[in-house]
Amino acid sequence: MTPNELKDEPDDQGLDALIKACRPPEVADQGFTQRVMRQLPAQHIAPDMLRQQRRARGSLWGGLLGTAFGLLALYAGSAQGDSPLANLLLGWPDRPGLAAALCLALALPGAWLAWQLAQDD
Amino acid sequence: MTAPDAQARLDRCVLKAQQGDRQAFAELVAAHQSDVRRQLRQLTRGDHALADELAQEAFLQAWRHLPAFRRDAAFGTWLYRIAYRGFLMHRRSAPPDAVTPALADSGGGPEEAMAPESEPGLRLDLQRALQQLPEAERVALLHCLHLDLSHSEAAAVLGVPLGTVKTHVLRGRVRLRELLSAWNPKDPR
Repeated sequence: MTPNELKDEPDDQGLDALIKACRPPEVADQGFTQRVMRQLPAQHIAPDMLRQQRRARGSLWGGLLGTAFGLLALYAGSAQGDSPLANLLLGWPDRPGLAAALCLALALPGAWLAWQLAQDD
Repeated sequence: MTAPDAQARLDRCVLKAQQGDRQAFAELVAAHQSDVRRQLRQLTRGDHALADELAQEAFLQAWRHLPAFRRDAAFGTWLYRIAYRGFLMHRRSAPPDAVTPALADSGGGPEEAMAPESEPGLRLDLQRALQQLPEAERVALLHCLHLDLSHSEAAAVLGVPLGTVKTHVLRGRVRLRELLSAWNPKDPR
């Protein structure tokens, strides 16, 4: 690839070819493989353990989100007409029950979403 | 051994390694180490020691999580993804200047990577231009052009939507053309 070839290309093929031509060379040596194999643990992480870890993560996040929204619901519901949270978030200072219901409605999907995220490896 | 034969052999190695065969995993390391190390050398801007350390850790992670590999992507792509995640985690934990050695060392060192038919000056300028690209564009170009991944494979490795990779590659090319315009005076792009 020469500067002229780069110039003559109407699209990006010349540039792509140049970048590809300039890619670093192969790097492979037996020593690297041996170093990796020396450090290799005796076993994989068993699939059951991976599943357990994901479940634990899901439980943690689901629990945290569910608790957070649940507490919000409790707070909004327990406050009477002057609920600052309901006022701030929902604009319905006289409807704390509605604020509580909305927070509760968010708690379950929040927990479900956290669970799904935890499933994704 | 032809390429399909070699690929079939590596696929069998993946299956065996998933069942705990260490020798099969050693073959996989030998077959994929070059790609992973080159990827990390580029990401670390030529810090070979760090790149090799991260590559080792990537293979160890791959071994630990091999039973979870569902074979819905190529094993190599899965390895790239693990290596890229490892690099990101290292960068988050390292001081900002720890992963930014000298510009001239990019891509494993210009003198080392010289393609025989390429113009040395142009090559050097290309390396410098690559370093001036925004990180996302540089990384997208690296995976698509240096590592020969398809856009969708690069998206899977980088964990971003396909459209984002295409945009970064496109913008990166435009910017590279601008930065290399001295080599191409008739093209003002």
